[in-house]
Amino acid sequence: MKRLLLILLLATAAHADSGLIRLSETASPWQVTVMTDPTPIREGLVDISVLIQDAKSDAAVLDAAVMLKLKHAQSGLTVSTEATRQQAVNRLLYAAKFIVPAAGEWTVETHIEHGDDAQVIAWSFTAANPLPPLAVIWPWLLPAVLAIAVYAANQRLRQSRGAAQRDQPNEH
Amino acid sequence: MSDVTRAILSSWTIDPWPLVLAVVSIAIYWRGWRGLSRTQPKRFGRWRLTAFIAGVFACWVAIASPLDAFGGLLLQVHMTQHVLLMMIGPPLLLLSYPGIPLLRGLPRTARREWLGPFLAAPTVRRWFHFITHPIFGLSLFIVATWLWHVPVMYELGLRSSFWHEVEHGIFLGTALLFWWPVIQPWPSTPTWPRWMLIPYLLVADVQNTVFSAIFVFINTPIYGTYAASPALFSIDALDDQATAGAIMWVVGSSTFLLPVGLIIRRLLTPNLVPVPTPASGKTPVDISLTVLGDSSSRRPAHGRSDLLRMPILGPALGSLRFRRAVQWVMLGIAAAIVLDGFLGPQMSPMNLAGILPWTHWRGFVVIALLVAGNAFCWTCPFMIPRELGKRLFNPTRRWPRAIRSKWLAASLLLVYLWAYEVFSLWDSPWWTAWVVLGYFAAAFLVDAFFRGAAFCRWVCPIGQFHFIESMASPREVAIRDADVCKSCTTHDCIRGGPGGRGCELDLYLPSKQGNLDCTWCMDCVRACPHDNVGVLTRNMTDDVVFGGWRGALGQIGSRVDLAALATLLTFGAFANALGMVGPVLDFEDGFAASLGLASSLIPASLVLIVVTCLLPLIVLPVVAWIAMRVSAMDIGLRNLSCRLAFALVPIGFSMWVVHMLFHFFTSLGTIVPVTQRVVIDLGGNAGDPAWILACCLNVPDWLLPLELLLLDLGLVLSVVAIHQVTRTVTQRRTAAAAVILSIPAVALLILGVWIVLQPMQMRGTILP
Repeated sequence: MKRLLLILLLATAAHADSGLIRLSETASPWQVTVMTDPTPIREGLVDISVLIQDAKSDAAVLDAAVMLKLKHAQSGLTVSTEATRQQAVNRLLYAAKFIVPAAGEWTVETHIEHGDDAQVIAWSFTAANPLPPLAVIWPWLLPAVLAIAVYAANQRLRQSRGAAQRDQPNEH
Repeated sequence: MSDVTRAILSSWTIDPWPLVLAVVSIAIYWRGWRGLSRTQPKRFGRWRLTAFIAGVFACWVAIASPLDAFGGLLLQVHMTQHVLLMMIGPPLLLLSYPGIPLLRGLPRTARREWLGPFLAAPTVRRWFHFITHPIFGLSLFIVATWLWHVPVMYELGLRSSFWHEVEHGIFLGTALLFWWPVIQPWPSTPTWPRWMLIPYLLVADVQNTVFSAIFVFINTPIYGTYAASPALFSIDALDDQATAGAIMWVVGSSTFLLPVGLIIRRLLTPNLVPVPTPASGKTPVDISLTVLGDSSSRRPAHGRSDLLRMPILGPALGSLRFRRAVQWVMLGIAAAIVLDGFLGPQMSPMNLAGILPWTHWRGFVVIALLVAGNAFCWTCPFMIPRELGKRLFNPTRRWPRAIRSKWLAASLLLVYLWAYEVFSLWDSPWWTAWVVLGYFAAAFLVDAFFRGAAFCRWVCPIGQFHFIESMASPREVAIRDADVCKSCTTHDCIRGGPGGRGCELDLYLPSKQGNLDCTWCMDCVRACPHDNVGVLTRNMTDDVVFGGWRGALGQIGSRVDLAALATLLTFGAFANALGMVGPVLDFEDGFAASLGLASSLIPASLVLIVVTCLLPLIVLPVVAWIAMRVSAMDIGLRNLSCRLAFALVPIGFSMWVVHMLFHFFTSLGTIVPVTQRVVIDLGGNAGDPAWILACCLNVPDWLLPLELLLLDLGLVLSVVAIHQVTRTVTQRRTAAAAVILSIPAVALLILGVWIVLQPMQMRGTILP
């Protein structure tokens, strides 16, 4: 639980759907495209989004049910989550934002249901080890460093300006 | 509207940070433009403001609208995004002549003392002259355009949100430099004669034509991502690529050639509008910046924003009746907390006493401290029993001289922090109710016996928290015009008069500086017959730096009791936060187990004592001693340690804000089901309590960045304060001494960052 909370806190890297196109294939009657973010996928928060199109007309299918079932090859750990359009920034996609709890090989089954049609598309990915916290948060610490540097430069300029004014001969 | 169209139009990326940046920049520009449009109406007509807003909006639309959501799937959409960032937004921004309005829109201190030295520095001016030179701008624009469209770089931007943002930042920055000589925003003067901009723009157009033509005519997809993309809306990759090229071609050529036409027209009709002439010589253009001026530590009130002059808020804040009404409302809420604490369920997230004082009230007061000042004391419900005690007993005794210091209040505060931690007050509605009741009783008894605001000044631990933390607030109750006070003979602000009673805390306005011991009661505002008291803005470091004489507060820089209080609160902020993070709780449990103790009372007490008392007692004097060795200082060790303690207040304050806001934002919704439960318990009908709002909510994505930025702010303010203190006590090796004295602030920042990265107890919520 604690580990998951920490990962959640450091989750800003996976910020939106789409990302890298993992696969785009025909699974009759649909053309299914799966995208993942971040690249590379790491242990922690991951965004998987799915675009479902009618294979004949290319029209986006907007009222399907999409489930993602993930299995960790090394430990057998499983994760199931629903991908919905509400979770997606691009509302043509079905997105799921969830925690990948371990690094290593993961197989994914993407279950799609729409009316009487159903398909399961299998694919896999490798999750790398998570980045150290500092590698994720440094952009948010940088403003302090910059502000102090700017303040130091400001003081130096004021000092040299003051010295220059003192050095000027008094005309009166 | 079809479902697909609705889906496309609702695909917005509402990231709070760009939105905040856009709103803040528009607000600053508007503030500066407002003054300039009065003094220079021809130059700063309404259309300049419109151009700035349109420019900001164009940039924001590029990164937040469905263009961003679809840019990864369609190259033409991505190219439209780039067109907005390079060819629409920047010219609009420059047409608004943003420089001077943005400078004038900043607070006076920021533009004079922070930016002034940079704007006046010859090196900075030379550098600015160099980067706005047409050759530099054109070269950079072309290099950025081509470089970021090389497949390797473009794919990098598509796969990494960080590099995508870098790419957009570079496009916007280089485009601003490219368009600078074309628009030549006032008050800059051109480097080249105007006609030279015709070849300048034509070169840009030719490169854009070649660039666009490659996209239009090449027969293979340039980028692997779009080649692998599904044919969205039946657009295949090659058609998409050709359309992207056409967009760049048409829009690019139009925006490059339109100014060419305008320049030719202007050159052919010289009487139409005066053509700016280039500056002579090689030296940078000397821009006369009226926004610069002298700096002084005690600034006059004019130019400082005054909360009491604001419509609605000002009269409300100064009104005694309104204040009393708010205090009665707060008293009603306190009564509800007490009753629910005694009679309601003893599960803190389900009880008013478990959430209102610990989650919501503390969140609101730190927000108020951060944006204004000591709002808590203004709304304090304990004022009512105080007033009651005074009316019933009409006390004449003075607070005993022997305890006329902050030591009692500091001791009570330490006891409170200790009890909070070891008895988990936040998790016990019953105890919370007793604490509130005890507070009312103490306020009544103390002020029934002693005159003045004895309870507020010498006893109240919560009040001390607000006095100390409001030292880092951006506003203070202060006089508007010192000359008016010089001619005043009645001194009603302290003695009282026809307008009302004077300051109960013996703060004499002409010698008052900062917020220490000020309850923001506004008695002085009402008492002053000259209407010369306001709630004014000030530097957030003024209060913690000034160690001189402050009337009733004495020589602040040598007040050990006040310094101890400040230290207790600064280090207490970290101790309090440490008490609810996983590794520290594990350590306390493990330590208790190793000693064979049934509870972690002793380890928790030890952590608190070490962090709030022992650590600062050792670290501050040691650091001060080293700094004194490095630089010959005109101050004793005790006084320097005291000054350092005050200078650390901002970093401590930032930790309190971070901690309180974490609970506030993760438990905000809890108030809904708890209120429903109370209404149902009272026999009313409020529907089924929505307990889902009290549990299982995700920590918002933006909270960690906000926490880190707040810690950054605390560190910067503390470091600046330390440097300013150092400058007042030594002339030798000032920088070295300041660096040494800043070590505790940096160490506290690192500790704060470590704390916010740890799993924190979700207080005020029901865990699933």
